[in-house]
Amino acid sequence: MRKKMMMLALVGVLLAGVAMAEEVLVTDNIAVSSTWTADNVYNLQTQIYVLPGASLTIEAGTLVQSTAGVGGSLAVCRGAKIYVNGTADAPVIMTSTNDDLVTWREAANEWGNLTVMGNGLISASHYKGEQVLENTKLPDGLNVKQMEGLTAVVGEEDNVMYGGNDDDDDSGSISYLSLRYGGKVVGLANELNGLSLGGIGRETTIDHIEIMNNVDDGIEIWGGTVNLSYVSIWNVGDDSFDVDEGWRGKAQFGLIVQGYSLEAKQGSGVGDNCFETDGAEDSDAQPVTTASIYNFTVVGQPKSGDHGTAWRDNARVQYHNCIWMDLGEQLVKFDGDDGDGASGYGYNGTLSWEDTWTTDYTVESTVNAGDWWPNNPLYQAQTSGKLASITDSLFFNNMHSKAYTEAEARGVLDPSNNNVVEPEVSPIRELVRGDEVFLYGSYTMAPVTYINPRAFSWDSIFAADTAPEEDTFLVPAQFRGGFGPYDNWLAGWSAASSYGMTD
Amino acid sequence: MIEHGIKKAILFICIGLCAGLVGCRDQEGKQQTTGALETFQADLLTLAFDAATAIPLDPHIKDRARMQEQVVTACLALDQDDLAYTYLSRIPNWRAGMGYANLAFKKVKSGATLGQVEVYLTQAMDVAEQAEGWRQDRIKARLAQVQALLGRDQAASALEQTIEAVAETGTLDRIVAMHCTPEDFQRQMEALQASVDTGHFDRVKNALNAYAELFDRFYGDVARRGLIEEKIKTAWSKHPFTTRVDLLCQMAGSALAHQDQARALDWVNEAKTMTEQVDWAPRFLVPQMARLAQLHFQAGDPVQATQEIQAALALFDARQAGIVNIDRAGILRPLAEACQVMGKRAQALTIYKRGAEAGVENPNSRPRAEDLVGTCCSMAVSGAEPDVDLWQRLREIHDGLGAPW
Repeated sequence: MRKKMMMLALVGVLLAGVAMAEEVLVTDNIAVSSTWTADNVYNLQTQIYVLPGASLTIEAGTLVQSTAGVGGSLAVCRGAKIYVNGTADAPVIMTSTNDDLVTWREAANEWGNLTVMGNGLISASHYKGEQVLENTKLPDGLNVKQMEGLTAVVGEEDNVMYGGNDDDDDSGSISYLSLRYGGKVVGLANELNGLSLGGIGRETTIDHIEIMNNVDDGIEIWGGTVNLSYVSIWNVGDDSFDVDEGWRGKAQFGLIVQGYSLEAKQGSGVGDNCFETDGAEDSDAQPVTTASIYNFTVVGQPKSGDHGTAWRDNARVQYHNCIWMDLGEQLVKFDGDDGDGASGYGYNGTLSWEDTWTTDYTVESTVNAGDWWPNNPLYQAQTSGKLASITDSLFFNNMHSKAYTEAEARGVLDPSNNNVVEPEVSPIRELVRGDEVFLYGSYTMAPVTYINPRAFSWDSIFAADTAPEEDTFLVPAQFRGGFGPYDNWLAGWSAASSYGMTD
Repeated sequence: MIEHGIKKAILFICIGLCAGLVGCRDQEGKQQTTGALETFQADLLTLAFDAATAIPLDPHIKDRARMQEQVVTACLALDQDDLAYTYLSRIPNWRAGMGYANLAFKKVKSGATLGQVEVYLTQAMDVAEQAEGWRQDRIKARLAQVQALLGRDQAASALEQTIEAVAETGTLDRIVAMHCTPEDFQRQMEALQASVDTGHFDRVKNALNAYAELFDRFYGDVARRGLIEEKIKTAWSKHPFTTRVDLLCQMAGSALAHQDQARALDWVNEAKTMTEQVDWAPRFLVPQMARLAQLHFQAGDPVQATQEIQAALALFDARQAGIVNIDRAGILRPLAEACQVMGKRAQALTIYKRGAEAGVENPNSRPRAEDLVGTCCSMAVSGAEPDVDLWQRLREIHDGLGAPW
């Protein structure tokens, strides 16, 4: 109760600040490095680019509140930087003018998103069977691709491209950023993800980021090597965490709460998969997604949610120390390929779906392998185990008849993986769902209205046997899920906290 | 002495950088510390470090440190170890650790003993222990190479075992290759073949680098050299052209280092043919053409070299509008360096001037400072002395650094 009072006080201070703040209409691209300060409210009026060479610094406590329906959006070009300097006490919020900052609404698609483009390696040789530009399947550092949802201006095509030859690339840093009610594209019948990361290098730092109510995916990462920590994705209209084109990073501490943002079809308002991981385009290209996910709490939609993890195109992902609960369908879904029918696991001599789960992480594909740069290795995110795995995790209340069918076939339930399957009590302290909502004539959603995501107890059931080895990115958290028994890292700064959905 | 230093520095550009090694090639195996330097080179290094240090720590600490490290690299190329060491103490993040490790590597390669580099190893490890995962691994991998170079195989292996990412391991093969004796040749070849056979992406990469090192070491042994070339060309069969071109250029560099111009020319021509098969973006193609031109010149084909420089410049001019302004100076610099090597000093100076102006096309000081650092380091290492006008312009650019960053 005391925390809630403090939160209300914080929101009150923020609202008072907003009332006194001066509105700044942002209408032009940022060619000269700029700082957005907390004493103004910034209103994006169109697709705004931070151009190569420029830096945008956003002070703690700054509100970027764009006119609903206009489609203002922010994109950071290759060679540009963004520094979002939010804090636990003063987050940076990007939202629409319809957001009163204290009440959750059934809404999305009211403004655009944050897109960051970098010079990391991507594998984007083909898309839907067609060659992309002059790209190849080899990791030669020459592949580039136009960012989804962005429109190239003649003579400035480079501003919408991502990908390059520098996995160590630095696009800046993002801390304590809350993105809400977004996904609208200017002038196109298309949708944007809450946070789009194309070819982002490992020198970029991202922590404490939230996407609440987006029309498309929550976070989508194409290629690159960026790591993320403290990630919350709630009520997005497509996949919550979507990966493609050879992401080779790590993520630790996360919360995914599946739900809906709009009355629309699945993929444009109703949540789809919690994690959707594509390996490469095509699936025999390199680099291929080879990633590690630690300590996520994933709360699905029991009736109309899709899968916990969907796997395509040779993706290699390790999930450790996670909680998977209330999933609508399967914990592990073998999707094969991304729908073009031309490739998938096992294509052109790559590892089969089955072998991917039994092959040591040290065995990398020799198909279309290459040495793109003398000193920088491509694959660093996995440091033990098999290429694909779910270990030290806990599965609770996953009631679909096939919830564990594929997982079992892949050995996930083998005792050696140290997973806890359907314990008698919930692994988290409290989960409250609102009345069921019937959407688009097809989907029954039970929106989560409140969550106390802290671990239920600190006993042998919920404490994982192993913790990630400390490497100063990964914290050696020896528990399952995104939260220990005491700390809720969402409290105080997030929309979920402001809207009273967690504390 | 100075001419020798410049020649060696240029060779460093040609070969050392392509090999991913920091430090000069010292055929004599003598220890070198701080060599003689022309005044203009010292002034260029000072200006470069000042420009890097002008970049504000908040929020640009990573860019500032990266630029400062670039100046340290130039210092090492010019045998300015003491200056490098001084600069390292002012680098505010993990790149200082990388710099200490590189400094130790360079000194050991020049004949220093453990006792003479221990202080650098300790400082590098101190920084590594404060660094995040992959950064720490990278420093440790370099330190392991230093230990291997010192002949302390056990210490090298122990250090390598603390590296978390397997991708950062296996680089010791290269050091072993550098010291490989004729008696050990067969065993080393078998070890590298085993690495290739693992299919591990980065192990194969490291094996290729080690092959290139063996190629250089046994260059005079035609049979063994031929065998290594065959191994390289087999291992790269599924590798990108960029890799193959890079290896061919390394082989040409080895040939030049062994005064074998004829064979060098063969490999450069092979690299050129391969380059023409790829549709490179201008930001990659122009520097590659410059590299080929330089090698063609050194291999005794100045006509071809000149044509390549002209073609590269024409390509840059034709495509300049489509190149992002922050990339332009960096594309021009290799052309200037090639001209300098080819003795076309006036043309080099002209291109450096173009590069200096290209570096201020962006209105922000961060990319301006980065290009200023790049230009100064390039001129210092390649021994290109600015004329009065260029000096004035470089100093103006430096003095103009400030908000907006």
